[in-house]
Amino acid sequence: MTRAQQLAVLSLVVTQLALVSIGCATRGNEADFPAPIATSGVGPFRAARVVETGFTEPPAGRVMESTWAVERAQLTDIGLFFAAGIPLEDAPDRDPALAADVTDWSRYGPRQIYQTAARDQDLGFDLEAATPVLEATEPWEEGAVSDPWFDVDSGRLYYAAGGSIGMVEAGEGGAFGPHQQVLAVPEAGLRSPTVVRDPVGDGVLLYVQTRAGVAVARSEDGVAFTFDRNLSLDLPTEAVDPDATEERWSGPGALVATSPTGRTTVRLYFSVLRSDGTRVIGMAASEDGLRFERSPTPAFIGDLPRSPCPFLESFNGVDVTRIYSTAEFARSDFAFRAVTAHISPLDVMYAEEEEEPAE
Amino acid sequence: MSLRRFTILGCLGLLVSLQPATAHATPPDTYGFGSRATSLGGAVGADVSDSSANFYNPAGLSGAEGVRLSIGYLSAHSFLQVNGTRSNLERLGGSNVGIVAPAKFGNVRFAFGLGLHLNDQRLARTRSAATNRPRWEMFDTRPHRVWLATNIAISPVPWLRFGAGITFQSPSDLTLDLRGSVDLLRPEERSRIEHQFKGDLTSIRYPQAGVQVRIHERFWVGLTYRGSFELKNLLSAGARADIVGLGDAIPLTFLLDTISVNMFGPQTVVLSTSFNLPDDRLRIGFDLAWVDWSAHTSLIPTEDITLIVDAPPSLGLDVPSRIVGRRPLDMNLHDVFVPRLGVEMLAHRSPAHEVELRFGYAYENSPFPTQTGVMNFIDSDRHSFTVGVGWGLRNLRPTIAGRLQIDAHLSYAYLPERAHIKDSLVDAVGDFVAGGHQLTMGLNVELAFE
Repeated sequence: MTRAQQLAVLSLVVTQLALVSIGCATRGNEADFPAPIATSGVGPFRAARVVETGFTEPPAGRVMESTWAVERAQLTDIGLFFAAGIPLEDAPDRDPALAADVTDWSRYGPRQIYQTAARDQDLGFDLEAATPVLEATEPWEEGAVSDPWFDVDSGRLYYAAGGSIGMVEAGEGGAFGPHQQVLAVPEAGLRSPTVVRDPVGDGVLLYVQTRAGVAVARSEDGVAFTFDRNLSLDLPTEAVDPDATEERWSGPGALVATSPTGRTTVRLYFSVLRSDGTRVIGMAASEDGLRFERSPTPAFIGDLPRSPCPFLESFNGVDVTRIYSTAEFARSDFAFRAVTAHISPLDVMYAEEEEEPAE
Repeated sequence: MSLRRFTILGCLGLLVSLQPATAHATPPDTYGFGSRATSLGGAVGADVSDSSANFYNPAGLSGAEGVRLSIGYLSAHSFLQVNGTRSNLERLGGSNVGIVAPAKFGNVRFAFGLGLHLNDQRLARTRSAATNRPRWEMFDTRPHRVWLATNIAISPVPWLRFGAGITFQSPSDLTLDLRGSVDLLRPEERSRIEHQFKGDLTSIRYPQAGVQVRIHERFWVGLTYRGSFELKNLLSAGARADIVGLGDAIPLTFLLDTISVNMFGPQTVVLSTSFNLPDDRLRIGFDLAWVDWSAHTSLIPTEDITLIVDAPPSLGLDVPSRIVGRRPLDMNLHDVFVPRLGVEMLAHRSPAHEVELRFGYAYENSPFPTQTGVMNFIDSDRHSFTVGVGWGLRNLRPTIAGRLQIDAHLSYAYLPERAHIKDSLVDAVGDFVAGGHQLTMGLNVELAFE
């Protein structure tokens, strides 16, 4: 064995022993389980945090100052659409005959639909920057428009007015018009329109709140709709709480989502009024948009949440669903509803809490 | 000691050590043992005779010409993803040690072998699976264990070798008892709690055995059996305390008993063949393993939870009458056949040196079904491609009375993306796709004494 060979062998052996020694000295670096996965949209959802919204006042998840009576808010790629009435300066006393959770609209100006842009710095919105985009002008609208749903793909704004569903289209300069009544069902009391592409056909599906619950209508062109059916959104039998049975479904909001495996479903979120007086946001999913499978657990509970409007986006490579809804809170002698945001998956953070400096 | 007495005592010792037990699935199962064997895709069961025989086929130990000591290091890196997001899999690094000590009585050869893989990070990791928390079952926790095997082998005639041994593993049995009183109003000042913890890491053993037969001068056949094992975790937690600060003390009892299977190793049968050209210029090995994954028991724990709070009705506490813990679910795994192929070529030979190039391939089809229900154990098929090089040095006298063998390998494993589509549209986790890559490298140094 030559000297060069001996050196080569020696260096290899030393290298090997060094590797082993380094390995033996390595401390355990405990890795957490892989991150949770939530691709079905069932939640659970968490209220947006103060650091994410910039709003410190309750209710939890508030995203906008609320001095108006806000009914429904929908986030889109071009901002937040919401319906609201401005309190009258000489408002009459509240009608004592109304239920506690019913807004006395005689104390507010006529409901209009507003639009406001998202703030750059957080998930919040500035109420003072909101501009009215639609007010009632037609006799069938009975003096108020509400429950906006803007369809980004078609540029159409659907809304509720006088128990019917109306629609306006975005024109030049961003003005909406003309007012068209796209669905009217006598005595049905239609509210809360939400429009999605038909996942198995070429048309459009319109989900609405009726006096009986939640229903679906269909259209080939997104203008003339035909009532199809009332939806069955019953909980699975094993998930029914006999102490808090569900009495009413209302305020639907829908989106079409495609899972990482390529499966396309309609996800429907709606407000559930339970027999014990509580409200939760329920969720159901469907492959054809007509027959739904109900999630056994609420998407979230919150402060008497209503009118959920989902918004789906990709954030840091993860599909995130945000639900904008209204929640009850009290200010002076007015009962207001504030716009709130809830987020799923739970571990997605739009802003991190600042650590308190060490003392 | 006569040869006959030695044989009888050896067999008796083996029988005692092979008491029925369950146990297997360790770093060597996942990443191989020894650089030469790993770089050949693990297709060495027919004729292996170095220290890696402790894992691949203990019969090969009796083929060693002299004492062999080996030491090595392995580093495995996983780049696995779920829905395009990197999974949180820790690097696995570990040292391995192998010993082969042969003896000869007349024409009969005996050998004792010991194999050890010791991870850098920890001796063992135990994790209980949550059904709604997806994890890579094969690579998350399973390889994070010590592997220790001891074997004996006999070769009564040159063309026949037998070997058998045992491998050790350890389940855990943990007990936590809390006693005392908790003041709800001033808990930090007035609560008095004492605790007692008991941990018991017992050992279990599982068998392996093998045979190698030289059918022809250039053709060997081997058969290897590895037993199954099941590592259970028992966790008992009990809290018996008085809640004070709300009038009379309220007795509270909380009991939690969980039994979970932390790891299951399936029994495995490997049929091996190898073919050598003259002068060992080319060796081709092929192994086919049957792995009994269908016997896999549930990884979901059995939980029994008891909560008793003897509170007066005036407090209005709503104590649930029954808390339902988790229950095992059928894993529905299926058996798999794993083919392995290895090619070894002599690239250079001189009186002082010998250089060999090695190539290996293995296909491990996943025993886990598509996760369509509430369970979320992620796994995918695995194609492993390996290259390696061996440098043998001879004529080392007077420094070493024997041969020095240095082996290195690099392995790339491809796990094709697999789509998991849930039966329920409102599954708590939802659909996901999972796949990725793994990169493993290792280096071994072996001293083979004459």
